[in-house]
Amino acid sequence: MDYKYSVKENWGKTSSDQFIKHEDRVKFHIEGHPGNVWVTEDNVHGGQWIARHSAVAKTKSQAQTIVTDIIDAAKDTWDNDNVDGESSAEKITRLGPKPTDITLP
Amino acid sequence: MAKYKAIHGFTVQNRTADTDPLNIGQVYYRSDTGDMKVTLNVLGAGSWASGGAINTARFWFGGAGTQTAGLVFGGANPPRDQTETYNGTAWSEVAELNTERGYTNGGGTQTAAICVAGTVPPYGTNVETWNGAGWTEVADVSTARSGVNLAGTSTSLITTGGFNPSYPSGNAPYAEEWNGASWAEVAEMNTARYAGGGSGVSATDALIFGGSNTGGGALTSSNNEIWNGTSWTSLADLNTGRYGVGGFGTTGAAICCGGANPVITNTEQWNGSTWTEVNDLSTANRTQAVSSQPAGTSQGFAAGGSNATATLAVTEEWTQPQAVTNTTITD
Repeated sequence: MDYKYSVKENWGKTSSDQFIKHEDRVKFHIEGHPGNVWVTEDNVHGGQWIARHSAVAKTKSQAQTIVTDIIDAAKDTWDNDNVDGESSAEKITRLGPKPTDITLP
Repeated sequence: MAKYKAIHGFTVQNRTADTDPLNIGQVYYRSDTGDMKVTLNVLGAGSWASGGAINTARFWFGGAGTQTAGLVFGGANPPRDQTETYNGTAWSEVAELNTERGYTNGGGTQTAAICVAGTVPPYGTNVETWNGAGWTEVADVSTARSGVNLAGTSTSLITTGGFNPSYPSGNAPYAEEWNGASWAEVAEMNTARYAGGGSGVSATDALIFGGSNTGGGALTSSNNEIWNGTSWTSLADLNTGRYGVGGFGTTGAAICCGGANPVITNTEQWNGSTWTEVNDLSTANRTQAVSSQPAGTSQGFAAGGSNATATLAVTEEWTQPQAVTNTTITD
């Protein structure tokens, strides 16, 4: 499957529209990543979704860089957020697991 | 031998068309074609779509109600008391919890909900019930813990497991039933864990799936157990073990969505005997608040939560279309 990459903030839902509709999910693959990066299936419906939202098109490399920079910053934040006497289990419970790399499809 | 009418309450009709809908499950005879047919409620493929964003981004908090009449409360991090209601489009802030808490869980409806335990900090026993206008402190659970698994309503609920580092591997194994006024200790799950998903309609009809059976979520569980009011029975496991999952539905039809570790989008559907991978969340998410009023798998919501890098405010709405069809019975 081929993909397109774009950036757009998820604005959720209004009384008349949705950022992602059920019809969208039926017609094409879409997945969201840190940095408001969206990966959409490269078909006519995915292209229409990008146009409908005026999402900013990115190359795969550009999109990957956005995601990786955010993940790297989150890793540093996670490493530096410590509480005296806290076990590793308690830290994971408090913060969640340490962020892991994401490789865009 | 009992007749069909005695068993089902209606007769096998002779019909010459499929037009008028019959009772779900009713068998009839097409005299013009010679076919035996049955009226079925057929479920289509479910999917997640965007919902309105909650006003306060947070994770590990309680959820109740439905996709068009929802409720969320509490959350981390830091411990929160905010409560919000959902009308199917937008979230509105309403009266706050009496005790701020994260890593909590809850259930019920938009007008009759319950919030159970959580991190105050440290680990709390506090329980509060919601009447549609405000929260009231009620009887506490016996054991302080966070991330409890639970299923049921504000007047009939079971809570089990939870995290507290004073227990081996952080798992507080206790199970307690709530009858609307007090808690009673009952049999523990076969596999102690916390932060699993739950579905079911009462304190005696509950399903608990996933979770973590090692402190901090280092190891995730795919275990799935059903509670009948007396004992826990292990059923088919989730395909993907995870903790911090969202779960809603009944013991015969449930949805398990998201979770960690790592944070995932995976959604699985339970049909009473097996879990099947279905359409995923659009964004990876764990420890979100989910709907809880049992409506099978036809609809639900997952709000807030966290992914690998941020605390989230997004809501996703699950809808599974249903259609009544008349199907020819074959060998």
